[in-house]
Amino acid sequence: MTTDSPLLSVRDLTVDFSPGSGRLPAVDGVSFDIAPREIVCLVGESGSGKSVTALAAMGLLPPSAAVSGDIDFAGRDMTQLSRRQWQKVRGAEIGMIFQEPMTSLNPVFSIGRQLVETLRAHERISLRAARERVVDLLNDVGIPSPRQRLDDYPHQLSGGMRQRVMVAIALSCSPKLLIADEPTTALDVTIQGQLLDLLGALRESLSTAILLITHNMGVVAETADRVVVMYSGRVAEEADVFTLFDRPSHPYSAGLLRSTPNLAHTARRLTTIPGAMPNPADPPPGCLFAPRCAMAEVTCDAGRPAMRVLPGGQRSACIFAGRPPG
Amino acid sequence: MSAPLVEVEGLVKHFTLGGSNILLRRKPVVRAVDGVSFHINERETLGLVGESGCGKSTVGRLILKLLEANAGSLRFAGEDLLTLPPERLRKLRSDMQIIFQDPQSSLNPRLTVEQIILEPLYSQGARPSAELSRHAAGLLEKVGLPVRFRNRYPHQFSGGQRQRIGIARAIASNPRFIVCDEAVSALDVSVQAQVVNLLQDIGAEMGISYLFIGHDLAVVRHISDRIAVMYLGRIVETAPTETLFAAPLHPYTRALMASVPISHPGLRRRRQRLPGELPSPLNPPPGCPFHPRCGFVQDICRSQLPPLRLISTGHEAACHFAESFLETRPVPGAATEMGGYGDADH
Repeated sequence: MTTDSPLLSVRDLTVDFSPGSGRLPAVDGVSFDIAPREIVCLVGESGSGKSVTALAAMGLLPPSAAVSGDIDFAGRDMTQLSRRQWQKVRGAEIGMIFQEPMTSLNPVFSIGRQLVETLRAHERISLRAARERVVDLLNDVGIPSPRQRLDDYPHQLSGGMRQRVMVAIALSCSPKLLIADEPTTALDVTIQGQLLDLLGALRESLSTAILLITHNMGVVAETADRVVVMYSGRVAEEADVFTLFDRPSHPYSAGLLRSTPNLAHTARRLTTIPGAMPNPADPPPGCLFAPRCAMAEVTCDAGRPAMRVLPGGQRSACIFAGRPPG
Repeated sequence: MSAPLVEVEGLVKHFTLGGSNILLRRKPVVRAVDGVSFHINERETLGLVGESGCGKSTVGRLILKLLEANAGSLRFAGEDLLTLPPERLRKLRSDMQIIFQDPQSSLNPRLTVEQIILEPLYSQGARPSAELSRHAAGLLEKVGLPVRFRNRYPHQFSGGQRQRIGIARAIASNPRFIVCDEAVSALDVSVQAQVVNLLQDIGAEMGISYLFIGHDLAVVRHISDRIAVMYLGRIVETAPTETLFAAPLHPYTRALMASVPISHPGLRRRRQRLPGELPSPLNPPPGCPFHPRCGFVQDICRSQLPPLRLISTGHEAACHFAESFLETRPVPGAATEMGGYGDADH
């Protein structure tokens, strides 16, 4: 944890799409902070609740979702915002990038028009000045000959270029926070590297904090300052990125790190985590990871483990946290 | 050494675009696969890697004759697949199977698991019987699914379980060869590792050769004996797995390795990324197709297409200057960690 007052502070966030059904909520008691200029990775597998957490932080949950907990952004209580107030914040103070740029861009408008529109929605600026700003923005995100590209439509661009346009739109009003949900998952590896570099460079040049949602431990290793590992809607562990990779304090994070194939270890056999994510309709009684955990004991079934704070600020939801990993 | 199980020579597949538009005098042609040659031995796994659009999936479909090749030769177990009469080909099909990326769309939602698994046998003329049911149960056991699931439908399973069903179907006819087309790419990491291990176990136990098509070098490395790297419809390098990682001889291979996300934050450093993007296969650049993105480009690269040449034992590369990479240190720390395409020292 940093000593700066956090830019975004999420406390005990719970999101339930079917309250009263007995199913596990999609997000259950999630807390974390992001400091100004910090890159925090929210990592987990499908069904971990990481995207729903991001949607909540963007005020984009459907009205049918039962939400509780606190979300503070730049000193404001975001849970009290009206739809109109949210619209002012999104785009201006919080930028967003999603996995699939093709579905996030409007196919019938040129990218220049979409960027100009975003700028003018939040700032009083002439059309001509807006177009100039857009050229600069496209240039900043590494789109070659940006002036010629202005009149291109999304389908005329490659996936990597479309994602750069999304980054340009997200950054057009110099937001304090950028929320990126799996921004490189649909891209090829060589393009993924380019985009991660771009995000890192933009943090440096624009002082934007980034909440990066990913399932890829390699992306975490490349970008994160701090990491929040989620499992079945709950935070399993939170740590700075070096501590997480060196001394994971939750068996799930440890397993995730071990089962990720990488070029560093050449063993022909991959380590696996047995089993699968629990069924939300029929969750285990205690620790949600216990059925897959090699360390699990009877005590693990006695209620959901509380978050423990370890020396150095690492937080873990394992009752054995702090013990040497087994 | 016995003859390879699969032999591909000069394989070409061009797709003509524009459909029936008679106004187009010259219809654009996508050169998806443009002269690809390789072989796969018995019990061997060949990894085929490349980025989207490089033609790797088309190669897999050509080998299984799910697509017709425009030119080249294709031999399976000594038989020429391109001239084989249809009924012989049909027989041979039980020896060649495929596992797709998306188990959601590759399993018929209206069939039960048992029907899905046994479909390859029914299409060979088998009829439902108690014996076949026992066979299906054995297959489920082999892929790690409870036999009691046999009458369930695909939607009742998770992604990892569905991929296990896909594997059970692929091995039902006791094949000698399976094409895995991005077979684990859609799976979560913890499940992906389980499925990779399962494929390895089954391959070893049943003596299956795999063509393992993928874009994730780390995964492909784990499962492959040899690896072929594709770029824009051509193979640019092929070598035994460990040779390739110790001494990649094509600049694209080196770039691809450098793009694999690092395994520990301590390895962060400014890396020179591969600039640009895959050119359109509609209009490939002249000379070496990689030259517009290559950090080592010379004049000859802009005009002459480098053929795939044998550089050292079992190691082929399609670069005019492949030998010069033998001289340079392999990508720094290649055996332990990648990260050095265009590092300061070359």
